[in-house]
Amino acid sequence: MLRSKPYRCVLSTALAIAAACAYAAAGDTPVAPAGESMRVEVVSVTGMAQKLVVSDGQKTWKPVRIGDKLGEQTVIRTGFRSRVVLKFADRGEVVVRNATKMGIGEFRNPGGKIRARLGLKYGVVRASVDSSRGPQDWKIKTPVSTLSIRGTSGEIGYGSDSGMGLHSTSGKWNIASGVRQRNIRPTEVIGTRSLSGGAGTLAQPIEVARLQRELTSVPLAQGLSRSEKKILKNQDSSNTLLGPVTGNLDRLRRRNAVIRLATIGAGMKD
Amino acid sequence: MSNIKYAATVTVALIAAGLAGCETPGITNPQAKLAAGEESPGFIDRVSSQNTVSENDAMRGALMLLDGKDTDRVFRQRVEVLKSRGIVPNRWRFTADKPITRGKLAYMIYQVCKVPGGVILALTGPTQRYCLRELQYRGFIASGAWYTPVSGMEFIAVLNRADTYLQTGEVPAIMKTAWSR
Repeated sequence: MLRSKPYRCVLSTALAIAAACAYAAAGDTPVAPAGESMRVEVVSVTGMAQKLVVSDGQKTWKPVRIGDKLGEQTVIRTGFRSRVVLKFADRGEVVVRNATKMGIGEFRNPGGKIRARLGLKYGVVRASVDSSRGPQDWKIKTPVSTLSIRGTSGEIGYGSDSGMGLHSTSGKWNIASGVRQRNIRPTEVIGTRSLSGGAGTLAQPIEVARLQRELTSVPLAQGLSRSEKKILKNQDSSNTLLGPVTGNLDRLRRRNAVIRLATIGAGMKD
Repeated sequence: MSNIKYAATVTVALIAAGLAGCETPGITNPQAKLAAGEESPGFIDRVSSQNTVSENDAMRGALMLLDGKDTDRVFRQRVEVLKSRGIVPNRWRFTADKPITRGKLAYMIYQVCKVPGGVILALTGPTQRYCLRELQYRGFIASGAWYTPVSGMEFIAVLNRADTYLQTGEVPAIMKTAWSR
């Protein structure tokens, strides 16, 4: 099961968050390598927002306040009607929207090139990067994909039922999932569904992840005739609806193939 | 002839039961408690890791959406507050530790957000089935039957959209469920 890409992505994100917590457990303030690590400043807080603080081995969530300097491996979560604005030196700004959990994995300046790694577990963040200030390498990781920002701004969201969504306001974006990559045009809005395409596209693992999530809830009979729906209803769903179905049911077979692909891809069967 | 009478009686009984609401009103485990003083960031984080969401947690979520906090101590208080504000109907049966279904969640979110409904909702008033269909259409919640439970991550995704809708009057495209895009 862990061989499938979606599971690996989720697992790697979970490991990253666990590593962040373990790292933070080392002391009150996360310590970064000398001369490289940079601080993120909180410039605005609306509503309720918390950051993970570890003191005396106890993990506690403390309120985020304006002026706080956040180090690497800091985890932030926001509540309803909340918003936090983070300033990444003079290179960029990240707005953490309501009901969001994200982490600052890395923010440092190795050899004059800014390197930032953020993780988004759920919710929405808006990122603005000023590339005119110098070379930089920004990445935002969600459980299903990694987004590279190349001097631009946009909004990224992740939800378990919606998958990853990106609204590129300006500039260039690159989205990667496993070995597949795709460049996103300015002002383009993409999501799980709009990423779907034929075999070999970037969206395939994401689409498989969506199908895998919705295997039990997806309306299998969608787009089928009444008789096809009846046949579907009478079949054992665990059989992936293949085999006993006869007659002219091309649409049904095509759909079955997709479902079967998702099932096999997820390592759930066969 | 007797068969026709029997069929007619059963039909009338079914219609009457439907009109009256099939569920028996009542609250099971009314003294069930949740962590006191829990704030919305912590609530969202906690629920996100659960496989299912209890009705008690769902009621807390609805109250936090409405007021930003939940000061009620036990399940009964939450139910009474939501009933008095018209978020949940009186005819429902409430069970504190039972997983919330898509239908019940959709009904509550529909009432909290005051989403404009379609023809059926305008004619019949809110029901679990049609609230769910309306919210599915608007991209609040993924497709699925009204009686199926909701996972923690899905629950917070729905609350996130509802919260954004309350602030802006719309659900942004990047947050809409996959099927509605």
